[in-house]
Amino acid sequence: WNVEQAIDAFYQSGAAGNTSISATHQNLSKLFDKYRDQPKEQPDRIGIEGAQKYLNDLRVGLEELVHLAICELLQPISVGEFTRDKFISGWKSADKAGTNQSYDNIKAQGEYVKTLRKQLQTDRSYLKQVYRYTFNLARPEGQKNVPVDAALDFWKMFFDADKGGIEWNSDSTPWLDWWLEYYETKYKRPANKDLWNMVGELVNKTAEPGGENMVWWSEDGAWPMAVDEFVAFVKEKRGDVVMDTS
Amino acid sequence: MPPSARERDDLDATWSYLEKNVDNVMWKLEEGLDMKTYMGVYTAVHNFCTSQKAVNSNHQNTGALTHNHRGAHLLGEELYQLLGEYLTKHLQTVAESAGSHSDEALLAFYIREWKRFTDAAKFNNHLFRYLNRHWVKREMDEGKKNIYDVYTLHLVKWRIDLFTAVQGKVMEAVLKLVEKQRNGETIDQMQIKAIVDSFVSLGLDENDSTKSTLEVYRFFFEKPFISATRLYYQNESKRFVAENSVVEYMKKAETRLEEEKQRVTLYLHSDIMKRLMETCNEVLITGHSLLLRDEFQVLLDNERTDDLARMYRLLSRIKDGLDPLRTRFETHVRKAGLSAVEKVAAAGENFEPKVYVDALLEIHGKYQQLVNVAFAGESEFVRSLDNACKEFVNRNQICKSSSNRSPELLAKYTDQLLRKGAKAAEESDLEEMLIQIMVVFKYIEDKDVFQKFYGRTLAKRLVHTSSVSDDAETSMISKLKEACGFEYTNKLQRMFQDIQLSKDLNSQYKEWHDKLLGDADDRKSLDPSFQVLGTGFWPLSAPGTPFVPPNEITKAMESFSNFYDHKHSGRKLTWLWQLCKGEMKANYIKTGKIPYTFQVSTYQMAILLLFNDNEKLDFADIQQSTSLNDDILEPNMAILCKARVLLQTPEDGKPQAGMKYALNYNFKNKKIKVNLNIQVKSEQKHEAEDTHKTIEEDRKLLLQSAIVRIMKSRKKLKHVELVQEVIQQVKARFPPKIPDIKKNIDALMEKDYIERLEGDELSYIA
Repeated sequence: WNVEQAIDAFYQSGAAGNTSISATHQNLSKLFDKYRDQPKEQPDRIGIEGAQKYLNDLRVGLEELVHLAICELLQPISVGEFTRDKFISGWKSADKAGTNQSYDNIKAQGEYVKTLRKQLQTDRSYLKQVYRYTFNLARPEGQKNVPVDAALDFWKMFFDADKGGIEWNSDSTPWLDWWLEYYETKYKRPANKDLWNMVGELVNKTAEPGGENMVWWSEDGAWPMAVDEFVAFVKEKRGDVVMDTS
Repeated sequence: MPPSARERDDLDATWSYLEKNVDNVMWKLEEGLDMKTYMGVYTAVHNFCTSQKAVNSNHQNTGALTHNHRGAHLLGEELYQLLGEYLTKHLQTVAESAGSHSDEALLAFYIREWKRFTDAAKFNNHLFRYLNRHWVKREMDEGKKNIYDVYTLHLVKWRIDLFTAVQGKVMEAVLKLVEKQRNGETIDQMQIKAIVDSFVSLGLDENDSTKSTLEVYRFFFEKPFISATRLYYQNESKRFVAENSVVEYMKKAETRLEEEKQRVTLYLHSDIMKRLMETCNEVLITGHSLLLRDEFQVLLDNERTDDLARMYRLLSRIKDGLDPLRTRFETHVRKAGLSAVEKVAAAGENFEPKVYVDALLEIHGKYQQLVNVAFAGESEFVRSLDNACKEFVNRNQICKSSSNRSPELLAKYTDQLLRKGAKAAEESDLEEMLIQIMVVFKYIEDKDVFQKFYGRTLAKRLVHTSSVSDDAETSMISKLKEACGFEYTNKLQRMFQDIQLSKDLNSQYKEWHDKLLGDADDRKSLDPSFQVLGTGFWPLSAPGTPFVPPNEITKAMESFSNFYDHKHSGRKLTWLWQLCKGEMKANYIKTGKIPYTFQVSTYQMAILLLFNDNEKLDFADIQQSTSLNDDILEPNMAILCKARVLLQTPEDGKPQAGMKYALNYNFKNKKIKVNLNIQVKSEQKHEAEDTHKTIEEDRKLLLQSAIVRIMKSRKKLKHVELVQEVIQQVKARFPPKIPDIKKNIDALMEKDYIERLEGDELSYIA
């Protein structure tokens, strides 16, 4: 007899009771069935069309950032391809607070999406979580990096308030516009994982107090080359006086 | 008369007897002391000290035996006191007479009295030995203060009763005398020496009278002496500097310092040396150091080695005196180097590498000499020289376009020295020149660039057997190895080995070939030799053009391939036609008795051999038969036409499609051997570009392997630290730029060798 094991077993069996879980489970499963593209050939899969319909019912636009938050929740194989397992486990995990709230119908899920929208704009660590997850989603199958075009599109979603992300452009510096311009015209290479992650850090750095002056940057800092070049690009664009500190 | 036995307990009688004799000792010692008197005095002291214990103990009325015992020793006290009083009285009279003397006369008086007094002290010490041995000893053993043996008592009295009164005037006289000497007058040095000795003798250790200290001397002699010295030289140097040049001042200061040093050994106490020198240094050097340093540049500009040496010697005596000189020296040498290079650059693009290297060496040699002669080869100056040389060798007018220029030119110059040719030097000179090359090499930062160019030229010398000598080559390689380690010269050494092995291989091949073919005819048609070069070690690449070798060569080639395959099956041979060459006999030319011999490349050979079967050939025919590319064929045709081996129709115009060619049967040349195997200009340029490209590639590999090596051993490391370690590891080969290191870190992250953790930390992915 082992206390730990017993306690583990207790919690795993679910404090809320098996019946309630299986009800939510069944509701979610039914909801999933509704959106399947090919119920016969692929009984456990929602395809592009079904996904679009589903998102539409949730009142989520494809170009909207919260779309990616939903992906982060439901872990699709690729954009618009949901599996039953992840769909059900994802929505079950949405009840983070343990309030026994069941997000097993469109209405409840729609309400949840609203909270996600808000969280994306207020909670930086949540944004980071979704952003880092998105690298894998944005990567074409079998490739290690995100192609230039896709990278540009995703950055636009994350760092533009109109798309539901946070606003990177500021009064003094159009950071996002310049980053996209730099990336598209100068860098022109697919984004590797490190660069992808570090762009997220870059956005945070520029948002820090005084961050707009780029005091956080130094030549021997740990930034990838692309960021170093971008800093020079911004300085030139802004016409910053280059101080010789040597 | 000594006191009689009866009187011996009588203090007055005893003392009056003693005083008379002590007085004689003091004043008439030169008359001598007879044995009788000596014995008398000694006995009187003895008797007085030993005989009165009973009386004394009765007087004290303390019956205890133990006390009696002590009492015996207390008896000496009166004698001791009386002797002290006598000395005081004597010294007071001396002090009085001293008042009437001054300056040298005072010194003479002091010295005379001192001598008289100390001589007497020695005598009295003997006469009162019994007192010393018993009463004084016991008092001192009991830790009584201010009790001394009789000799020391004299000194103490002198110090208290005379010295205090006269020392001021005495020192004044001493200092006047010294000043006279400093002003160039002759003085009686021994007077001062005697004064010094006297002052030193007066230093008594309060705690242990058997030891002496220098305190009295230090306080009453050294201190005023030092301040007088300071004042004297402050005034003198100020005056001198105002009226003379800095160089003159340095000579003066040097002389003065030497004089003061001599003064110590001549008549001062060695204890003063350190402080005296410090004072002189401070006044004569530190006080004028700005002036001296300002002169430094002038002396450098005018190459005044002796004066620079003098300045070095002077400023090396004070703390941090040389630092400003080193900085200026470094700047000066750097500027000299830069302007020497500018002169070379001003003469135009096409200077000889030798001119450039010589210019660097001249500056280095000149200032190395200066460091050795003027700055005593001091290590910090050597370092300044090295810093300066490193600067102007790596960053100058000629290197502006690319930091690779210096190592490239140095390698080219080395090639010229090691290659057979008109300019070949004598063997002994050559070795010296190679040593000089290494001097510049030491300063080269991009050592990998030198390595690349050197490897290429060495490959050519070896392939074309155009080395001046194997010894010189070996010597150079071992120098490089010594400077940069085994890895740096590994490939160079392997190249050397390949050539050695090829020699053996050729003789083995000949044996094999002869045995196989017996006396067959075609054995004679060609006398080939082969070199087999390991792909990994030689900076050579496959030919840039397709080529169909002529039949004659194909046969030999196949035969050798066959042989080689037998020997080492599975090895692939790539034929580097662009490096092959041969000689052809031009039997078709009838003019001379001996046929001309053409030294040709294999490509040229292929072209010319076509004319064995054809009178006239079209450019296209030649191209078809040889398969050579235009950019190889055209320049070679041009060479053959220019040498008038071939005749082109029409005569004008570049070799190109449509031109026709025929052999020139009337070919004439002054030499029997005609060298047609001239390297085409475009090839040379191409090679240099190629080399630069491989340098970039190799650097990338070197950086990445350094990063992986470091991360593999450290597992986790901060980004900044990684960058620093990489710099440490590769800087012996070239100075890496931070952006280049970062670029390669990025690349390795992409390749999943390393990943970024939170913060700036990197982690190795196993």
